[in-house]
Amino acid sequence: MKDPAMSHIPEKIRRLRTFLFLAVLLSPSLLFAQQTLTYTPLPMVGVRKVVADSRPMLDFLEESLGIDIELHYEKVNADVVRAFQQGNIDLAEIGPLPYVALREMYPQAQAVLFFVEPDGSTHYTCALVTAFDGPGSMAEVKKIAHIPLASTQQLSTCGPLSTGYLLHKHGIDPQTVSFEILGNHEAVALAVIRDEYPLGGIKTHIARRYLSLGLQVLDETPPMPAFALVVNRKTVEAETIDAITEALLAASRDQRTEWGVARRGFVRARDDDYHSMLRMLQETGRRAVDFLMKPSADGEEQKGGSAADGEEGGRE
Amino acid sequence: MMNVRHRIAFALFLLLAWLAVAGMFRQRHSEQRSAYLNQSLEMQDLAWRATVRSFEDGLGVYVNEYVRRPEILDLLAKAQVESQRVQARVLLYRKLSPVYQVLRARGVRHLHFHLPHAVSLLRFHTPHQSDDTLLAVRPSVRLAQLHRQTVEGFEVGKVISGFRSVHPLEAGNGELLGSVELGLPFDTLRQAIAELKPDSEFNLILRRHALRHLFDESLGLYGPWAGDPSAWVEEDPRRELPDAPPPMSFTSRRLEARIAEREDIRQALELSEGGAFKLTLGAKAYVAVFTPITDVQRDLAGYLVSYADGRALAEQDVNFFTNLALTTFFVMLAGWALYRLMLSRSRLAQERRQFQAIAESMGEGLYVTDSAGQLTYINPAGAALLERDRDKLLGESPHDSFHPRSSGPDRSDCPLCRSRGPFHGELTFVRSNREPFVVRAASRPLIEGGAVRGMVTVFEDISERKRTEAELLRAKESLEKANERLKRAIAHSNRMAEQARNANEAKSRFLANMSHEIRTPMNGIVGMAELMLGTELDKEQEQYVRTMRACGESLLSIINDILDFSKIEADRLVLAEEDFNMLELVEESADLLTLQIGDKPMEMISYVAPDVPLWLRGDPGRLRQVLLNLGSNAVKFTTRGEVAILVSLAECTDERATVCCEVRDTGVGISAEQREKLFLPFEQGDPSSTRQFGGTGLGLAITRRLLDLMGGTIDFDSAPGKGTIFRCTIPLKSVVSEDNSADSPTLDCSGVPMLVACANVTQRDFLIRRLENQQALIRVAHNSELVLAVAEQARLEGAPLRVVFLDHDLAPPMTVPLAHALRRAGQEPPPAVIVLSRLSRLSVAHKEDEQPFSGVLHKPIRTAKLMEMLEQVLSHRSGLLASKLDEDKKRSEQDVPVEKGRILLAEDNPVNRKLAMTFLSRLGFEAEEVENGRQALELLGKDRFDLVLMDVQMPEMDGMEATRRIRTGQGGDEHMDIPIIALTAHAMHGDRERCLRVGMSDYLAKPIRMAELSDKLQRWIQPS
Repeated sequence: MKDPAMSHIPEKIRRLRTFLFLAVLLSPSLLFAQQTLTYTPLPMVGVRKVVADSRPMLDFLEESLGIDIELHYEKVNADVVRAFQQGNIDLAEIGPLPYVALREMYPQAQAVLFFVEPDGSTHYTCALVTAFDGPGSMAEVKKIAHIPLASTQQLSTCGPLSTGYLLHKHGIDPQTVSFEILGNHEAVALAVIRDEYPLGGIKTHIARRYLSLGLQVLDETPPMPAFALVVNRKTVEAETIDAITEALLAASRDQRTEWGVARRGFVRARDDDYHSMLRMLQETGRRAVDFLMKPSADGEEQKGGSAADGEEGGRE
Repeated sequence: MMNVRHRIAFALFLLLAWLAVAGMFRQRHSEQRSAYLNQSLEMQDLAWRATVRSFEDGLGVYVNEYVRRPEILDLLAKAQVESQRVQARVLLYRKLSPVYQVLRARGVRHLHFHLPHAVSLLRFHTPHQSDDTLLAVRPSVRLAQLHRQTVEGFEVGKVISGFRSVHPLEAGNGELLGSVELGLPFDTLRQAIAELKPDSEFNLILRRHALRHLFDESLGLYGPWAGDPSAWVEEDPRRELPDAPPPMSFTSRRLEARIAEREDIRQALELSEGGAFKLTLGAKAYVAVFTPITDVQRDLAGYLVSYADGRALAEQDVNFFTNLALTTFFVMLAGWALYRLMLSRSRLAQERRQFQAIAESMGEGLYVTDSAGQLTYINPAGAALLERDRDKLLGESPHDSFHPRSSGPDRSDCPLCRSRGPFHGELTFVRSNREPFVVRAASRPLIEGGAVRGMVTVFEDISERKRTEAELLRAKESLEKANERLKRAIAHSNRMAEQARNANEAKSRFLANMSHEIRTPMNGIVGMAELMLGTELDKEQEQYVRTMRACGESLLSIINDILDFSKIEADRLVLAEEDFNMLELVEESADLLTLQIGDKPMEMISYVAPDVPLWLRGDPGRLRQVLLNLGSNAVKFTTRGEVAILVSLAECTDERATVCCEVRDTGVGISAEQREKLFLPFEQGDPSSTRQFGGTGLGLAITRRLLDLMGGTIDFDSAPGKGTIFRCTIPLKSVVSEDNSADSPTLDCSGVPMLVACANVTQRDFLIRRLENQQALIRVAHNSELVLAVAEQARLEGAPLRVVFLDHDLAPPMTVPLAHALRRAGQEPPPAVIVLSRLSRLSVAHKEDEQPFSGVLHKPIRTAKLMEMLEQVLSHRSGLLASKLDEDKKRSEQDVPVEKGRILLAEDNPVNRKLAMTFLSRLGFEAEEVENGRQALELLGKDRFDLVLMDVQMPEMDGMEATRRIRTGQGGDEHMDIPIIALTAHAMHGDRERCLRVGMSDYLAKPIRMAELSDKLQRWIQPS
């Protein structure tokens, strides 16, 4: 039945309106515009730095694809994994250990791009660090009966897995080590600098930034895949995933100048890149999910304060 | 009245007045708004400075309490040595880390130690960033170390913006060890100032240029400010930092978008002016206050922006528009009132001018006096009438100058003064030479507020008029006397006219009676004379008797004319209106005129054009009278030749038909001198003609009067010796009848060869026309010699003649031989010969034993007779017809009745009764006589009669009544249709029609002549 209220609208206008409606419906950019994706940055980084680093890249994606991206911060990697599984996260920057753990439980997680490291590679190493007045070598460490070790997070690549691997490498039983979870790399570094812990485990590259505060690297792990942009294939359509991937890969150097995260660009990720990570797990006789602890209630995992309190990020 | 220019000027004045008042309100409104905005700006500036000051004081306290301690200063001294700097930095960090956590909890974000020369030693907020020089980017540090005094202010720096307090640090010996800096984030200050201005929402915007020294990793914290994205940025616009202030409200974001549309605001910000601005969202007003924030070098770094509800501004707007509306209303009201006032004054001025113009131009004098009775105005006419100078009269009293009274100063005898109201009357004024003159004055008091303020008086010099009136009065009196005489003369005239009318009527009655009374004995005289002519008389006796009969007839004609004229003159003539057969009327008239011709060698001809309707409606009697009068005149004044009556159709519509009747003669004609008095009564064209031709001279006068009555016209063409043509047009009514032409005598003679041998050209032409109207083929022979030749030629051409019309007047002796010759010419069958003959000359024709004629037609030829005879001839009954016609003519010529019949004569006059009986006896009829109508009815009831001769005027029962009763069967059923012929001495025209209307069959006027009686009897008595 014809709507009487519409009867006064001229036929031409009705046709034009129908055309515009279809045009809007079929426009890819406007199709994306109806989406709002949730991006979770690396919890290993301080909140201020996360916002400062991530927002330019997210702005670029929003502008390129016409979508909205909300920034959802989780304090620990375990919470990121769980939120991802629950479908609350669409995109996330995730390190190799949390990714492997996530993949074991949630195959819809897919690493699509690696964040290029400051040295231009797609790999990084984790270091065992101490203060300028701490143990001078692994031999001195070995003498310490009970070692309190500042660690980033349980499910952090440079956390207990890497430090345990290095201690084990130097003949120290990781079981004798007390892993103190401080949240992020900066917190670990500063805690070691403040001489609150004789040892700490952080990314080697970050450890070198604190040389001005006397931080020393005792040893470092073999290279491991860089942090990856992981997408939730269950919540994000394949076309959108492709569009995001291609947009980020196509971002020029000039466009990335003011970016914090991904300033150096991306490299397409493959599952084979995680073999080194799997080998380390294999050598330590652990599974990735072993490092997945119970959900934290406001940094329950941490000992030395939450990552949000950290002044500096721990990624670089 | 105000003209257009004045109105435009007034409208402009009003507009300007309104603009002035509106401008004043607008100015005041603008000032109020500026004052409010300035006040808002000042309040915010004050609050800002107070807040900053309070925090700066607190930071100084922190420095003294936590930093300026010996162990800290020792570490700084150690850091002066480069080789010990890292160790000193670490120790310093370890020492003050707890303090930094305390300060952060108190809102301090920066704790930064510097070495001399502005080199960064340790940033507690970014500990890994150190050893960089701050000389270029941190003037506060440089100044503090240079001047060794605390420097406070806003700076962006390399990591983050904030309000910083830089304190120089010195060793105990005064050596500069460096400096320490404490910084506050904006939100800390925002929270503080928000407590002072809880109704406002705050934001901090920074110049994009101020971010030039930031580390790259910190740039992402800043985003463009919506109010001017190209020039200004704000920190953490999405409020994603943990210590970020609450997100901006939707209203504030809309206001920032509105600022982007305000060029004035952007310019003010660019010029470091700041300020407070009114913004609107829909109908709501808001205030945006921009307090400039300068860095330590007093350069503009950014603005503290606040957004607050501008209810006060909205109220100011409402007040402004209310005042404006009220002002507009009152200006318009005042304008309207002023306009009315100006209009009124303009009207007043115009009325004054009009009054002055009227007063100055009027012919009467006018003056105005005030309440004291002194002249305030006098018009020029007034001064002229008084023969005084206008200017000198002003101020004087009329009573003293030109209206003096003999009484005392109270002027109680002055009617002007006594009236106390409007005064109209006559007064006596005096001129300058003391000459009095009478004026008609009208005075009216000028009343204002109920009191008499003066008088206005108009006066007119009527002394001349008074004299004229006196003369008129005298003239009127004499006129009235003359009028009285005239009335008496008119009354006398009326009496005389009445007497004349009475005498005229008496004359008419006398004439009518005399007509009857004269006619009756004249009937006897003429009749007896006619009887006497039938006796044996010698020539002298016969001549005496004929003269006697002619005199009698002439006398009757004179009497008839006089009676008709008298009737017309007395307006007693009423025209009848009835249907009549035009053809019959014309041909009957021609027949009657033929009798008048007698033995004159002349032809009587009549012709009615075929397009003239057969039946018309009008007064046939008067039309017949017209034709007879004209025809009689023609016959009278024609001695030889012809008289023709021609009728044609002048005009015809569905309702009317105007016929044209021409009466032509070949008589003496009418001279130019005679034309003028031709239609005058008792006049004849030539007085001598009266003696020669007789007559009263009334015929044409009566004809003209009759035509006038009928709406017709009459004129004539004539010349002496060449005859006369009288031509009259007579409007008649058409008779609407489908079978109008049914009675028309017609016969289809298509292709029938005929010969017309006729002496008279007119007669021949009209006969040819009649025959050609019936489609006959006509040949013509102008004389007797050509007759046989034409007949022979027709035969040779294969169209032998079937009918020959042979005029007896062509060659009277040759008529019979020619007829025989035609019959014996060898044509088979021989042509039928029809002889055209005047009645009086036919006797020659039938003396022959053997009649060679197929028939005889009397002239003037009657159309019906012509058609009847042709029909019989063409149907081969010519022999029988000829014998019958001959027999008829023989009877007529010998006055022997064709068939006898019984006739009833009703006549009261014994002489006339005897005369009629003698005529009837001579004509061979058997007749019975009675004296009145009653006896006639009785006799009809007893015996059978074939015809009744009925006198009209009889004692006991007149002829009219008796006729009506016969028609109703009172005379026996067998006599209901009996022919009744009126015999009357009522010879006035119109009597015939009256008789026919009551049922009589025909009419015979007295005196009866035997020939006429014979004709009527032959017509109405059918052969047994």
